[in-house]
Parts: sequence; structure tokens; C-alpha cells
Amino acid sequence: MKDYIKYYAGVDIGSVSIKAALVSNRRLIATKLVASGASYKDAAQKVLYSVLVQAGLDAERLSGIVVTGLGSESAPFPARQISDISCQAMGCHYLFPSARTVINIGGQFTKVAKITPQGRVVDFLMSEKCAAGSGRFLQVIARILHVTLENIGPLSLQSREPVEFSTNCAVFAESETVSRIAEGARAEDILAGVHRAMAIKVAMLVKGVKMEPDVVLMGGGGEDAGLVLAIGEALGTRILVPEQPRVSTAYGAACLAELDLAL
Amino acid sequence: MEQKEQTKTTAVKGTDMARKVRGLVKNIYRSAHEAKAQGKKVAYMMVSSQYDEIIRAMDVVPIPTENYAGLCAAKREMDRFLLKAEADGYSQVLCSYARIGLGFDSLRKELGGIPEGAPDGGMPTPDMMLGSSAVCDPRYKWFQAAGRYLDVPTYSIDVVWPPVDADLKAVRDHYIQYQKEQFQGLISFMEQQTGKKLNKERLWETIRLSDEAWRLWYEIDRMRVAIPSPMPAQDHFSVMVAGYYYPGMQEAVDFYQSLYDEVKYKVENKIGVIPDEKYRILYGGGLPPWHTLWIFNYFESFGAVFAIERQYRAYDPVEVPSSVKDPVEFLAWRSFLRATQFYEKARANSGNPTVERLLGMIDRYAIDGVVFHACRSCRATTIGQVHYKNILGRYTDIPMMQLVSDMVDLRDYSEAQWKAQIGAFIETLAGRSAR
Ligand code: SF4
Repeated sequence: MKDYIKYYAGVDIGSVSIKAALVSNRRLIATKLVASGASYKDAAQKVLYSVLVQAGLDAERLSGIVVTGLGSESAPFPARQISDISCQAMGCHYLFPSARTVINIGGQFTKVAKITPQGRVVDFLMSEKCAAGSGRFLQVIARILHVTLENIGPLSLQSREPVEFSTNCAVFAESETVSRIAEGARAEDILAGVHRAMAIKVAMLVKGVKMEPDVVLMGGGGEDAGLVLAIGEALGTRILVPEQPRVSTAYGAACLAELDLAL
Repeated sequence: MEQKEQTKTTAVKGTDMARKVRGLVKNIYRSAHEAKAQGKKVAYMMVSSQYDEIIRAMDVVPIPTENYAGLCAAKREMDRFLLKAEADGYSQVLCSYARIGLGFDSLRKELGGIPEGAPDGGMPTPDMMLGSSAVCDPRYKWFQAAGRYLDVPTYSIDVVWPPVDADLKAVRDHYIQYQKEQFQGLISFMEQQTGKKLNKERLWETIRLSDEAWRLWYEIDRMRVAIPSPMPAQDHFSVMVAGYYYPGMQEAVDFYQSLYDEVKYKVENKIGVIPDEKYRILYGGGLPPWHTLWIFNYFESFGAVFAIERQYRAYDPVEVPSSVKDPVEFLAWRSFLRATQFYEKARANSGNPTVERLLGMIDRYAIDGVVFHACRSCRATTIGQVHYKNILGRYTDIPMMQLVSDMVDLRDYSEAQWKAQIGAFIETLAGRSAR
């Protein structure tokens, strides 16, 4: 009986991490995430292999693979390429059928899409070639503050007096952070300030696609509770976050492999 | 969606005539060098300043400095000029065309001659510089700044048009009179510089040739409503050389006549730019990405053709009243009519002349999606794009996308980001046709 079940994989080759998701009938069976490292090819092969091992499957049991993400052209296995915006939309749709606006904050870019009730993209915007609109901004500040990435969110939530940044540029914010530390500002207030500055940028993008609820936040940004709160406040709406925000695009890719839609 | 590998930097053209434009471009700079050698006057100038016919009638050979910047970018030879201008203190947010031009002039002064390997032999030292306020402020200030490197006289004219809500009947005569005075000032300056009087008959002749070239060009674009598309936007960005850099010359008329014949043949024989045209795209505005023109072919690899564009050929032919008997007054009238030709429509509908033009194109050319190009350092063609997109959204639900880089400065371009955006845009188009 088991042999009649079909399996599909989605591999999201991003600049910071590479993710894989294995699905069957849109049900998430296994996921894997590794740092992108120097070789996208090796890492992509590794995550795909890992989800197969977790499910106890041979590669031949896969009925389809979709690759997505900035590095999708370097996929070392035959697969269909679909843009990450379409994948995040479909992933979001199956995770939250009520979603109409999806935000994805990744290591390099932030992407926002307006989607139909069927999970199709109607309009989308990407942040500019600028670190301030992406997870990179937080990484830079966290490094200066000696805060691990996992602790950014919880710490930021403790802030009582968020620092106001006078710039929207990650490079200038870095030097501003150093000045604020010298002035005695607390790490949680600096982080909350960074979250607010980022939230304003993200909100501009979301308004650009004419936001409609429900709004879902995916990507690494979704793991940062401080950022989720700041974006919710900036947009004046509730933000839904999937259980594994970083693999949601890979999950969407796997769903698209299964749907085999004409894109 | 399959992706194909891209290694080129220039675009593959759709028409034979577009492939011949390179010769016209080379000839601009060759003629200027030859003119210099023969003791003729040459002038730096700004395109679309409504004064081209005067320059030709005065027998002055024009050097379009903006075109030279675009040429440097297409040859990926812009960096040393950009960096030189920046080293001289010009900000990175100043128009990159101006930075290339100023960097070139600075380097030429420093080296005592044309920088080695400058595309198409470089620009010779002009005898005068003719700026204008048409389109943007850098075009007025650039040549004044170039005075730092060049000891030649500069004359800049004002090119004006009324706001869209003006009572055109009430303001028309004033605008035309003012424009005429601006042209007359320019003519006096040029007469002084050349030691020759303007020959009005000769001016009428250049106007006639120029209008004929632009009429043919307009007719060509009208034929581009055909499906499949006979000529893509990347060809337009080549063939505009004849209309913008050869107005008043027989060459432009001959060029567009041949292009007209070619496009007509393609339409009649249903020869499209690509074999399987799935989507027709409107290039909604912004200067083209001269550094990466192959991007148009990248769209084509997904079946998307840029059927028409709003950038360049900024106006359709206009009818100047036959009672106008003076050629300078004719130019002033033509400038006013060109600038205001979409005002009436705008007032009756969206309130915005650019949006009216875009809506007309979306309808006539059966457009499936709109792509804008925001150029970081060209405020003139970039400001307004998001606004146009928002207003257009009230009248149409076709997908629209804005790509961001610069017309020449590669430092503002991210290939990975563009490919990601284009991929998603194509999928959005596909999703619509599947719905
Ligand atoms: S700002 Fe734009 S319109 Fe003005 S000179 Fe520069 S490129 Fe041309």
C-alpha cells in the first residue's frame, strides 16, 4: 500500500541557509535546514538526502522536486525551478488558507506578496538592494551587541524604552549602535529600536501591495518575536507565523511540485 | 518555468534596422571629430530640448553627451569616468549620465587628450555647450559644472510647459511667446559663436525633415499593435538614435522609411520577435538599463515580449496652425502642443497625462503586464513611477512590477534580485492566464 503514496520535495537554496521539505498530499513529512556555506550544490544535496533519510525513502520514490531561492540555478539534481515568491505564496496558502498577504524576511531580501484565495500571487514587492530591509540588518546589530540570534527576540520584548534610530541604513545604524552603547543604552532597547526601524521598512512594502488580512510572516524573520511584534504594531494588524517559518518556502515548493501547476 | 543561461551584456535585436544603429552611433562621434578637424563648430547638447533643428540649421555639429554616457555603459566602459567625477567631489546620487560626462571631461583635461580606449573615439572638445531645462535640472546645470574643465561658453535655455490643470487657452500665448524668446536667445548666442546668421529657409527645411522622421516613427509604433509583436522595446531603444540624434537630417527619414518597410513586412507576414509569444509587456518608463540590455531577452526566454514602451518618442505628431509663418515661432508652438497633448484626456479621466498614455498603450497593444525601471540617479524618469502604478491599478488589474537599478551605474544593479523578481512576475502572468 505504502508504495502507492507519492512524495514530493521542495528545496529552497537561500544565501544564508538551504532548506528542504518533503510532503505527501501536502502533509509535511520531514524538513532539514543547513547553513549555505561555500558550496550551494553540496548543501542542497545534503538537505534533500536528509529529508529522504528521515522518511526512510530512496531518491527514486520522489515523484517531483521544485527548487527555489536565489541559488536555485545551482541545484545539483534535476528539478523544476519556481520563484521563491510563488513558493512562499503556496506554502502560506496551505498553512493558513485565510492568508491574503505574505511577508518573507530572509537573510538577503524581504519579499511581500498579495495572494488569491487559491495561493496565486497577484502583486509582489521586494526590498531594495539594501541590508536594512533584511535579516542582515539584525545580524549586524546582534554581532555588535554580542547577542545570539536566538536571543534577539526575547531580549527585544523586554524593552521599555526602544531607541530611535535616526537612519534607515544598516551601515549607519551600525555606527549609531556603537554610539548608543557608549551613551549607556541597554541592549534590549537597541534591539527593539532596530525592530521598529525594520518594521517601518517592511510596512512600507506591505502597504505597497495594498495589504489585506490575514497577514503571515515567514522566513527567518518569523522566528524573531520582537520583530513580529514590531511589524504587527506598524501594520496595526495581527501577524500569523507558521511553526517552522524558515522552511515554509521549501514547503510551498514541495506543494507546487505536487500540484504541478502551469507556471 | 524553465530558465536559460544568460552570458551576454547586450540585447539580441528583433529587426535588421536596429542592428544597423550601431553605425549611426559611431557616426555621431566620427562626424564631430571630422567637423573639428575641418574647423567647423561642434556643440555639447541635450536631447529632447526642442532646439535640435536650430543646431542643424546653424551648421553646428551636435555631441549628445547623454548618449555618450549610455554608450559607455553599453560597452561597460563607464567606471573610470564615474569614479573620476566622484573623486572630483560629485555625489553618487547625481545623475550618472552627468557623472560620466563630467568624469570624461575631467579626465580629458588631466590627460591633455581623449582618454585611451574611450568608446567610439571619445567626445571631441566642444566649441560651445547648449544646456536646457527640458526634463530635469541636471541638464541645465551639467554644462555649467563642466566649465570647470572646459574653457568654452555655455548657453542654457528654458523649456517650459504648463501644469495639467492650467486653462490652456488662457496661458497658451504666454507660453509660446516665452518659448520663442528662449529660442531667439539661443539663436543670437549661436550666431555670435559661429559668426553666421541663421538662415530661416534652412531652418524650415530641418523642421520638415525632422517632422517627417518623427511621423514615420509614429507610424512604425502604430504598427506594433500587431500580434505577434514585430519589433520589441529593446529595438526601440536602439532606433531612437535616428529620431533623437539625427533630427533635421535626411538620414533619419531614410532610416525610419526602411524600418517602416521592415516592420510592415513583418506584420503582414506575422513574423514575431519570438516564435511563441505568450505575454505582451509594456515598458512603463524609466531609462533603459544600458548596462544589462540582455534582460529583455531574458523576459523573452519565458515568452514575454516588450511590445511597446513609454520611454523615448515622448510625443505623437502635433498640428501647428498653418497661420504660423515663422519657423522659430513654429518650434515654440510645436513644443507647447507636444507637451500638452494628453492634458485634455487626463482632465477627463485620471488627472494624469502619463497615466493616460499608459492606459492607451495597455488597451491598444493588448498588454498583459507593465514593467517600470527605477533609475536611482535619474529622478526625472523615476519619480512618479509608483504613483502611476497606483493610479493605473484603479483602471486595470494586470500585474505591474518595478525593477530598480540605474541607467548606467552597475553598482546599483543586482542580477540575482532581478532574476528573482522577473521569475515571480512571469509566474504571476501565468497564474492570471490559468485563472
Ligand atoms: S537626470 Fe535623467 S533626464 Fe536628467 S540628464 Fe540625467 S539621465 Fe537625463
